Amino acid sequence: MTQFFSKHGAALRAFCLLLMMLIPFLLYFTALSDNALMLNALLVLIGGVMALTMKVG
Amino acid sequence: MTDYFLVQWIFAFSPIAVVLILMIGFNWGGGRAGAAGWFTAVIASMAFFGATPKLLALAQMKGILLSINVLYIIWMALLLYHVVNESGAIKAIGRGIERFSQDKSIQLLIFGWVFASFLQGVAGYGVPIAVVAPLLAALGFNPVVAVAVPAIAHCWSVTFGSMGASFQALMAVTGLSAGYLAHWSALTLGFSAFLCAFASVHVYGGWKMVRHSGPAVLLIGTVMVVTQYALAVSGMWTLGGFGASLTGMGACILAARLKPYRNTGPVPPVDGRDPMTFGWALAAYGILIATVSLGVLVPPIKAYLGQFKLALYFPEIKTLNGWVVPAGYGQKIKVFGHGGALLGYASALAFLLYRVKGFYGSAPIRTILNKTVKSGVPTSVGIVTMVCFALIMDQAGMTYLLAQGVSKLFGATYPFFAPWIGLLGAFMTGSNTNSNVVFGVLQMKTAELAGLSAAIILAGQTTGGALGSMIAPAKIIVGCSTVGLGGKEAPVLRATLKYGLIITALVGLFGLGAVMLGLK
Repeated sequence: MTQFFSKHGAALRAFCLLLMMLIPFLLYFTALSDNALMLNALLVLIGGVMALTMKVG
Repeated sequence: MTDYFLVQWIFAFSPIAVVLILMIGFNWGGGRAGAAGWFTAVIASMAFFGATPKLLALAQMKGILLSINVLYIIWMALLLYHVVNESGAIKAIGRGIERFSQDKSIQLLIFGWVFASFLQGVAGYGVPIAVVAPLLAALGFNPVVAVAVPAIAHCWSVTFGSMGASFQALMAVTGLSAGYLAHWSALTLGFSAFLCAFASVHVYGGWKMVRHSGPAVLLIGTVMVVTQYALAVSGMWTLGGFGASLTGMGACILAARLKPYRNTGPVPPVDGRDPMTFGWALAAYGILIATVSLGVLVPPIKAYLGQFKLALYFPEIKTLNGWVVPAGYGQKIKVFGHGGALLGYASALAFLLYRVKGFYGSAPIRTILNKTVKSGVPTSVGIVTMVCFALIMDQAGMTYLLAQGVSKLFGATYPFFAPWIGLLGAFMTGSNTNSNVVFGVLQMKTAELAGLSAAIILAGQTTGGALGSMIAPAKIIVGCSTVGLGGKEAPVLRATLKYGLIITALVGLFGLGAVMLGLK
């Protein structure tokens, strides 16, 4: 696993950045539509992206 | 302060503490530590400040809009730098400057102070130290001096350098205008410019060298500081650091003709095989000046480019504790009239010019884009994570609570401490921009609560953040790696730390003096 992260660190960092930039747009529109389930799911998703960033960022 | 307030204050401070501990204690990069700070901010805001999922979602979106606003400039500044560097223009500028004088103090000032500031003006993010340190080492300076000098000397130009990205970040997070902030920011940074220059020559030759270089520092410094101030207050703050260092290069020619610095030895001959002359090397920056001037100073063009805006409306939102975030638009981004867009146009034109003149090797576009992405992604991850956690803290009322505590503790002496907070932010994040993002609102709110001028306090913040560049481990490591000091950063850091702390204290006294005189 560690080898995978070090080998693909740069690509994963770029992937995290892309998701960090895109997911908030979904969060924004979901928050406006008051869809609580979807909102929580997206927050968990961005939490996952941040967790990955803590590993490779 | 009551015990309950103190406990709340500690939880409000916890995300910043986590970032500090991880970056300083565990040597984590900005992106990783920012993500950890984000988790801490989410947990603390939900557990102790009544943040709801909706508030977190909207804070995230506001954070991304702020990030885009700053990243637009950063990415385009990096693109321009690589377009120019790949053509050989940066080396040609270095060779051109070397011919001005054989006096060591003048060489030190030209490369370490003016040229490093110029590179900060067009690129930033460690580029000035990485480029200038090997040039100084090649001129015969000790490697520690070669890294420490540009690290110290370029700091004054960080806020208005990189096309004003740090200043843009300060405006974005505080919601204050350039017109309000530019005056004191330019004055305080100008004051630090002289201190940085004297500190850098002191590193090399002690007080004897300070006395010898005094007239040159005063002449070049006055020209650069006045230029930066004029550009900043006239609305052209994107060109503040860049324009100042360009006029500084002109002042260097004059300084080199002063009696103590006149050439006594032979001037290095012009190498006939040089692929690029000094004039062609500067042509890209001529294009940049023309592009930004047209985009900022010509009203019809400015209006035309500013037509298409990215803007989102945010409804009012309350935390469970009753903290209200008013409704309104988030950060508006002029897609074609933004400073980043103007940099993009200049990059494209400079690339075409150098391509037509045959200054590039094979596959330049691919090389330029690869290098831009390689340097831009880690910086961007750091900025996005830091901005997002700072926004969560702001929207949940945590920043306001921090400001309340700080204003109660320091009261009227707070202006002295403002630059120290900026310095701390830059040290922990490696960036003036990030420091302004993390602490800008805190400083503004503290100033408001203490009844102090926000412009003076924020000038202290951004100047402290700029000075933090000289002690940021990330930048020192980059510089050391270019002169063969990889893994031996301690002597450089010891040197820069000493001067960084002294200059920050003097900047703090400058702000305190301004407030005590009743200036606004």
